[in-house]
Amino acid sequence: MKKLQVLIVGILLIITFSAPVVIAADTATITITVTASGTVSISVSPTTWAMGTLALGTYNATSSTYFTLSNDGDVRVDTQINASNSQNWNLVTGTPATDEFKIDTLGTIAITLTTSLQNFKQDLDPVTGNTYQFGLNFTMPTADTSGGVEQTITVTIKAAQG
Amino acid sequence: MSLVGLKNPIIMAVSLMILLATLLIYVPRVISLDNPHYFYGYVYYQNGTGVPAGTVVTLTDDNNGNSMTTTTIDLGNGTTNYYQADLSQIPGSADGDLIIVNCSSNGEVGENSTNINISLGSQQVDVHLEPEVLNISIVPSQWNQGTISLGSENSTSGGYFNLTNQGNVIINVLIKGSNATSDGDIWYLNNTADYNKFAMQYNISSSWNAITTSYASFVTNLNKGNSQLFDLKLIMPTASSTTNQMSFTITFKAVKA
Repeated sequence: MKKLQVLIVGILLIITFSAPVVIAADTATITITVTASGTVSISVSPTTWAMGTLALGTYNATSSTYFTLSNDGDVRVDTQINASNSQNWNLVTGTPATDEFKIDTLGTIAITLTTSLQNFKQDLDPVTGNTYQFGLNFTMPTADTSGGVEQTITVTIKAAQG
Repeated sequence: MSLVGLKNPIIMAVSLMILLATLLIYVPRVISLDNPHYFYGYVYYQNGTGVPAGTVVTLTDDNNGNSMTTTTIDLGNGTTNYYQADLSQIPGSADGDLIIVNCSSNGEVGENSTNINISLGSQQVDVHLEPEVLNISIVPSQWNQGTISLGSENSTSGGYFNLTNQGNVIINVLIKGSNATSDGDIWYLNNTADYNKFAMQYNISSSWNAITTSYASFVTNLNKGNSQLFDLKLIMPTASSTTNQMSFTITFKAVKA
């Protein structure tokens, strides 16, 4: 009973001496929104792969880290990749036949290239982990009607703000 | 030269000398009321009870900013909330001046005002207190910047933002910022811009001051009803892992001065 009386007195004291400050809105905020516009810039190294003379029906592959794709800009990017036909050969995704060849990427992203852009490395950061290493595997035609002319193929990687 | 010809120039010269002498003799002086003139009254809490004896009452001449203080006194009949003050004690007080009587006690604050009117004799000005209110507002409360290049700056100018003390007490205002976020991406508020780090600054006079994630003093002794104009500057990250629209806030907090 005595404890109860002490408690009641304590509560009364608190009520009596609490300053009646009314806080209507003691804080106010400004909300700010912004979207970053950055410079998209990538590079790949090396930029050439001279395979020399290969036997028909065979393939030639780099290591899976032979090429290094780098984000040289200041904003995260998504990339896409494709390859061109050569002067006399056509790029295919199945088993190459006469005057046909195939290119596969090697590494954590394994895709068969086409002449159309396909998604390649995504979210390539400009600072943290700003490189991606990959390789290529080139499959020769089973037959060649060009008479042994050197063929040139271009692999293109395109970047967009990610 | 005839006498008539000299007459007008002499009169003009004498007139100018008299005028000059008058100007030299006149010295503006700050004078108060010549005779005692009393303001008196009672100070009440919001619940109608009187404030205790000894409560400070301040009387300010709004025409010149000068003030005096007095205290409530115990009249001996249980009345403890009576005050009186001789306004001739306020330097520069004059008939017709607006006198603001304010008082605060036990977390309540209030004021009343009236003009000095000597012809009325003593003037009664009661003060009714009310709980202290902390209340601030900012206009505008949004700043949508659109798309800004990384590594660049964007700022407002000309006092674009306006913070107003909407409460009834003098306040100090604190300021802080937040990190910017969007869908799991984050830019950190930093003193300088860097990779995924941006900076914010404010300007209330002529220099830019950094805003951090901790409260810091923004403005002090902002009177009730008064406003503070200011500008903000955003310094974009030098590089970003995201191009999502980022959102963050600048928060202002009022505390009783």
